[in-house]
Amino acid sequence: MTDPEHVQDMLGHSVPDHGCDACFKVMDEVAEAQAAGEDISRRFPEVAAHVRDCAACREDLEGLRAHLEDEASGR
Amino acid sequence: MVRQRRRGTGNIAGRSALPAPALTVGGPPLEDAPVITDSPPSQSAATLDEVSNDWLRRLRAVDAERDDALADLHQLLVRVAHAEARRRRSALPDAVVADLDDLCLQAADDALVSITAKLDEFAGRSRFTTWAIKFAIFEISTRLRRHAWRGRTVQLEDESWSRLPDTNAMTGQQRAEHRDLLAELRRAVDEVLTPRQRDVFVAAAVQEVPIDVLAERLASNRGAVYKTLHDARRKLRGALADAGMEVTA
Repeated sequence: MTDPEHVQDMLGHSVPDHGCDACFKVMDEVAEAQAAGEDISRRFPEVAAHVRDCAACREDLEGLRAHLEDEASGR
Repeated sequence: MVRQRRRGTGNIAGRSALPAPALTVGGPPLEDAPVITDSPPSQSAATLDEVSNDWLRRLRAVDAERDDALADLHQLLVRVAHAEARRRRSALPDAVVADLDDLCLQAADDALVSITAKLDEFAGRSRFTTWAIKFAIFEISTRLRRHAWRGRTVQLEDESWSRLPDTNAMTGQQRAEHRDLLAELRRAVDEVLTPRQRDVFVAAAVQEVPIDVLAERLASNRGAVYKTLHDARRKLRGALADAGMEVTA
C-alpha cells in the first residue's frame, strides 16, 4: 500500500540532518538523555531529525536505550 | 557456522593490534547541514564517575591488568550483543537465529577492536560503558541485517519502482491527487536522479532494503549510502515542489 505517509517516508524530511557518522558520535549521550526522560528533540535536534529518516541509526539508538533501561531495571 | 573466526578470550590483549575494525558508519557530511564538531566535553576525565574512571585506568594499564580489563570488556560486549539479538529475535529469519552465537562473538570482537582504537576519543560526555556498548550495538545490528539478507537479490534497477502499488484507501479527489503525485515522483526518479542515486533510492526507500545491506552490496558504508539517499530525497522533494506538488515536510 502506498499511502501519503508512505510517500512522505520515502522522501524523508526537509530538515537539517548531519548524517550517520555525526549521529553515532553522540548516540551514547542521546541514549542516556532519553533514558533519563529528556526530550531529545530539544537537546539533540539534529539527531532527532536524523533518526526520523534513517532506520538503521534509529534501530541502533533504540537498542542502546533498551539496554540502558534493562540495566536500570536490573534485568 | 558463519565464517571461521578467532574464538575464545584467551588472546584478547593482543586484539588491539588486529587489522582495522569493522566499524564503518563513515561517509561525508551532508551538504545541507553544517558539519558537526565536537563540543568541549561537559565533564573532564577528572570528573568522570568512578566506574568509568576505573575502566579507563585499567584499559590504559599494562600487562595483566590491561588483559583483565580487555577480557571483562569483551565479556560485557558479548552480553550486550546477545541482548540486542534477543530484542530483535522475532524479526530474524531462522538461518540468522542459528548463527547468533557466532554473530554475537564476531560483533563483540570487532567492537572491542574499535573501542581500543578509539579509546582516546572518549570525552566523558556519557558513562564509559554506554559509550563502549554503542559499538557492540552497531556491530551486531549491522551483522543481523546483512545476515538476514544473505542469498537475497537486491534489484538495483527501475522495474520495481514501476510496480509500486497505488492506494485503495482513498477515493475521489484525494486518490486523483495521489496518483498525480506518484506519477510525478516516478518521472522525477527517472529524470533528476543520477544512476547511483536512483539505485539507492529505489532499493532503500521503495524496496526497503536495509541501508547496511546496500552498503555491503555497493562496497560502501552506512554513512555514504545514507548521504546518497539523502541527496536523492532532497532532489525529489525539489522536483515535486517545482511541479506544484505538496510535500508536507
